[in-house]
Amino acid sequence: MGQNNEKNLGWAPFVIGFILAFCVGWIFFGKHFAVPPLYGKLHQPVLFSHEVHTESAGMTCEDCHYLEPNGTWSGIPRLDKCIECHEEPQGETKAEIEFIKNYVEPRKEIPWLIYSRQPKNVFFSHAAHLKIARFECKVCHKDLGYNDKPPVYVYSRLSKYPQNYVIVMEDCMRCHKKFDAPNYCFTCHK
Amino acid sequence: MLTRRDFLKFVVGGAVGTLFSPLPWRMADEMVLFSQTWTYQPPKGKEKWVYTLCQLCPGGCGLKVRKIDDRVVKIEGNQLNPVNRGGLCPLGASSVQLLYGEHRRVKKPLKRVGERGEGKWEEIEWSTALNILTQKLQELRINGHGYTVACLDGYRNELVSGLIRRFCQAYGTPNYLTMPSGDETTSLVINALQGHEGHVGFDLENSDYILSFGSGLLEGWGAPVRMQIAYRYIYENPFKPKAKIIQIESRMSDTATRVDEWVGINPGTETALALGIAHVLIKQGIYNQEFINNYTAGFDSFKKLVLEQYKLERVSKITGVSKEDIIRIAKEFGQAKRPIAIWGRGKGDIPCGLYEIMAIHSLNALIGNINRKGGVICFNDPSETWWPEFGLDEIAKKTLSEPRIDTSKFPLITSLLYRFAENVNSQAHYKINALLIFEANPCYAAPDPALFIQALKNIPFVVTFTSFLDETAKYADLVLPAAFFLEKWEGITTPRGLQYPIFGVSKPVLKSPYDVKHPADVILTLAKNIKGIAQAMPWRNYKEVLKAAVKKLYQKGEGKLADKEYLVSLNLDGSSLPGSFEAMWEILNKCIWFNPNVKKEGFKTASGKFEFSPKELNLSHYEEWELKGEKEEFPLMLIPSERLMLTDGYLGNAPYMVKALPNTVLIKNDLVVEINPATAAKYHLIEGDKVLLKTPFGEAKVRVHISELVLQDVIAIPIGLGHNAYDEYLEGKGINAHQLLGYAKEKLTGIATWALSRANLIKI
Amino acid sequence: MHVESSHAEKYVMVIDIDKCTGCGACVIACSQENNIPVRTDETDKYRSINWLVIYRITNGEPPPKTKVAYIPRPCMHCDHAICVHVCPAQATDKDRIGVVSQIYPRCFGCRYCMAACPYHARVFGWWDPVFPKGTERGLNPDVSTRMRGVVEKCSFCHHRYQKARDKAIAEGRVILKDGEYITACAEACPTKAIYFGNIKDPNSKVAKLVKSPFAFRLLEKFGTEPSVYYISRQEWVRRQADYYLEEIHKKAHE
Repeated sequence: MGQNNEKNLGWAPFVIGFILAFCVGWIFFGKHFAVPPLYGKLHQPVLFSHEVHTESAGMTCEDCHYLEPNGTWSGIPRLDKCIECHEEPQGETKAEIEFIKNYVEPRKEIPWLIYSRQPKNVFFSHAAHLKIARFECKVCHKDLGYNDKPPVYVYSRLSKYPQNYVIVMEDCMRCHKKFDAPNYCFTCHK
Repeated sequence: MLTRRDFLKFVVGGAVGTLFSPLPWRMADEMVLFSQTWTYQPPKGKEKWVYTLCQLCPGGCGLKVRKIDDRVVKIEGNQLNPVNRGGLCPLGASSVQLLYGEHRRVKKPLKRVGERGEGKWEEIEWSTALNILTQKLQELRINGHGYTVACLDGYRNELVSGLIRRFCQAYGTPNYLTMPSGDETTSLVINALQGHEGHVGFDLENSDYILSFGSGLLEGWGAPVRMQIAYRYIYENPFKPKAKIIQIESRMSDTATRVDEWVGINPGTETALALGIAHVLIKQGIYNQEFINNYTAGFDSFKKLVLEQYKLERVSKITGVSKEDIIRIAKEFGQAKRPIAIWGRGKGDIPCGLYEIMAIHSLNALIGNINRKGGVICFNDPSETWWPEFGLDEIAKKTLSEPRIDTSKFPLITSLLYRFAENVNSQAHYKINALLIFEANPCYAAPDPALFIQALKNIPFVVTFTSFLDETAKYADLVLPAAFFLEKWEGITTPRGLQYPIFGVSKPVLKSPYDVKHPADVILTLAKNIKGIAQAMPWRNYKEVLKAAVKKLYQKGEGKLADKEYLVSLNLDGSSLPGSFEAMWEILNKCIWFNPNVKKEGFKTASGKFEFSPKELNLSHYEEWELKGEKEEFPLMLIPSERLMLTDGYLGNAPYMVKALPNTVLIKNDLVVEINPATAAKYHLIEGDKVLLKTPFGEAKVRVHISELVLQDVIAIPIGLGHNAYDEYLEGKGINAHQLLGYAKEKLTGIATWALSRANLIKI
Repeated sequence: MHVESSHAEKYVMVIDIDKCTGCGACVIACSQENNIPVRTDETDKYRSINWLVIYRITNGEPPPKTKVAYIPRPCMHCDHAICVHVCPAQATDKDRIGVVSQIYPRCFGCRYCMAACPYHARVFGWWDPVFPKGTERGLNPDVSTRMRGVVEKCSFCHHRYQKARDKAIAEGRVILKDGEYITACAEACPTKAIYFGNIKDPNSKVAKLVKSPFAFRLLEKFGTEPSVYYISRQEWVRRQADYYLEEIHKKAHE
């Protein structure tokens, strides 16, 4: 009964729709395709170079990132730590001069963009991973500690959460299962 | 041509294609993350613990404050404090809400615009406010009217009270008033009977028989947390308690249900019962003859009065307690090893009669437990006696000789707030030109608040120092924001009823988010700017005052520092004073100074003995309270009921505390009163009924809760609700019990209490 | 990888009813610690969010023989938790240290667990949380705030366990000492009527207290095996808690 003079398009609309959606889905929402507009890109407010600080300045990782005596992680150091040396310019880069002008002088805390930012209901224990699991930093933070320029911060425009250098729940659970660590909800959530 | 069918095929193809792409999973992920940020999540930060002391009641509890960055997030008890030993009361635990409640804190100095009571203000700068205040006070002083300035001190165990008193003296006004409580009368009685102005403490932890005349041991009497710990200590083994406690009151409070015995007496008849017990003790000879013979004077006249006029027939009729019970209790009391009789209704804020306290304390003298283990301990509080001397200028000397505005016919009684209101209203005495209120709320908590509000009409200049937008702020001309206790320096003196002195330094935990000042600092500024009183205040700021006090304490060399972890086993260890004053000041930032082995203050009367019948007062005797209203019109009696979860006066209940009130106190916005089933039957009331509660002072709609724990024909009303100020969590809930209770007067002395009032119920 | 297990921990709470005076400091401390919202009218107790509830019981005698007792009731953290069995979203789970967890983002508010819980320990958030203006500054960052439509309940202040464990690990050990991890209610109680500790630690106070013949648990015959024990030397309190099981108790602890 479908016989008429018009061209019967048959499966064509279905296939076109399928391919269109398929491509749109994979291009815009796929994890490894960092194409706008879903993903936004930002730069860190200060072009901090780990390489300069560890090699030229001779600092160690623990100078800024350490376990406090009460078990909490110091995280990214606050402005006080930077001011210890950077009241006066220590080098000759433009980035440092801007940093001193915009943050050291007005004593403004640097709004770092944290790659490994977790949702607020997640409790991550650096103490357990460093002392019990004896992980090295690069297991989770990859090469962030050796860079010369901080990598671009890629985030999802919908949820505002970072997309690169971040660990999500499945990664945590996979690793916990592998190493026999507890996988109960309250181990990580609060 | 594209048909509808093709379009649909396209859409379906799209949907299937979407399912094969990561889009659904990504969107689900994003939605989850989005929902997790739906509510406000507080930011993380660096954690810090700061030690301080609570000032929300005269309890002296040590606190541990948890801060995240510069935000206060939790208040906990400090275990390095022998008074509260790590415990807390609900009011202290909710301090964070009191601190940060934006709708009730005063943020900047306010000047009234509009009528008094409207609650309309404009914000002004501190400099403007201080100018207005200084000018006014200076003007009055220079014209010789300094005595027309009255100061109302709402503080209880803080060092700043001494500063306000000093200011009043140096300025030249005799009108230093305090909010009514049992404390003033207690001092008067001790002064008359024992001849000194020292602090009175009750060694309940070591007693083995406690006769409590209405003291709410678990409702917040004395130092609330200390009493909870003492209760636990005494009842550690409920089968073998360390002390037998008799609770004497008209309503079986929680305390009464948990101690050994409740004795229900008619409201206001405690004096008669005390003298009845004295009668049995004397008649049967079970009093401490050695103590009476060696350490007391005037016993014979007391004995005569008690044996003749307080026979058990009469006492039983007045109080409603059976003769057998009186004899039994008196015998147990007299034969116990370390008995003690205590007074102070409810939390101790409801005033007692002078003769009432005399009668109860005479029981202590009869069994000879004064300054002995388990008894009444009297000592000098070093934090009250350290103030250095100062001279008065001519103006002050002249104006100080004027009589007080609240004088009664009775020369010894001072600070009668209702009398102040009466005299200002009647204008029989001189006019009061200025009233300075320091962290008190008399427009809510004075005896008969309506009378007080009326009196304010005759006072042209009213200034209140307050942290909260309370009722008094609505009626003031100038509202000056006082720093909340977490935002200021303060010296904490011995809590009510504690049997050894303490001194604590409470340091500011955070910088106030609002533009506040410590009233003490304002006083010091005023002293500098008003001519003639600078010599009395040689300190630059209040912290210096505290340091000077601590220095004096250190130089005395007595006592020790409470730096051990205290448990509920009541140990009182401590470390000796450090080598230098600076070290002591440092340590006091974390723990308190205390002296459990303080030298007890002996009798300093003219005879050197305990006076049963001091010259200034008569012998203790029972007289009915002078109640307003006629019995025919108001056949029932209204009494207040208190609990730890309800705070009265200047501090309004925090939102968490209002939330925790059960439905036997508050239902929606209706206050619930308790009545006996027999009374309910008489008035045809069932549980939850709405009634009109009428007293000679006012009337209000309430609901009833029927409870056997109240005596017949007595109505118990919770005190602390019925505010029409603060914020939406407290405003308009319940009714103000102070307004209905008004006040009852003790005939001879004029002391007013709101412990009882005539009342009537009308079903609506 | 060397990972130490801490199955040597099972946390229980023991509440001494004879010492509890019903002051309510525990309720306020819990509210402040766990970011509990508060509305302007909380007199409808069926809609009020309360993780720790205090029940009042009397011995039924008229005055002067009346006796009153207060029973604080947190979540029982049952060993055979019915709520865990029925949750369709697996939002609740029994931890290895004995705590029954509740994960708010996973819960979608079917309230099946509320119907299942015989202790009425779970509350539903009917509205989005409202904190009195200004008191958001006083919120605890260690506890998540809950949006409307999810079920919440007492968590034995599990965030304190996480912090205490972190501190212990930083000091080089995994075993927590008695008293290092206690709930906010146990810490605030002025009479120290609430004990909290590790029952598997033979030296802890709770291990000794649960062996007392006066110790009982609520609704024992439902078989939920709660982790909250109550102690009362007063017989009328035990009878009201249906504690006629002295014989079974004795046998179980022999």
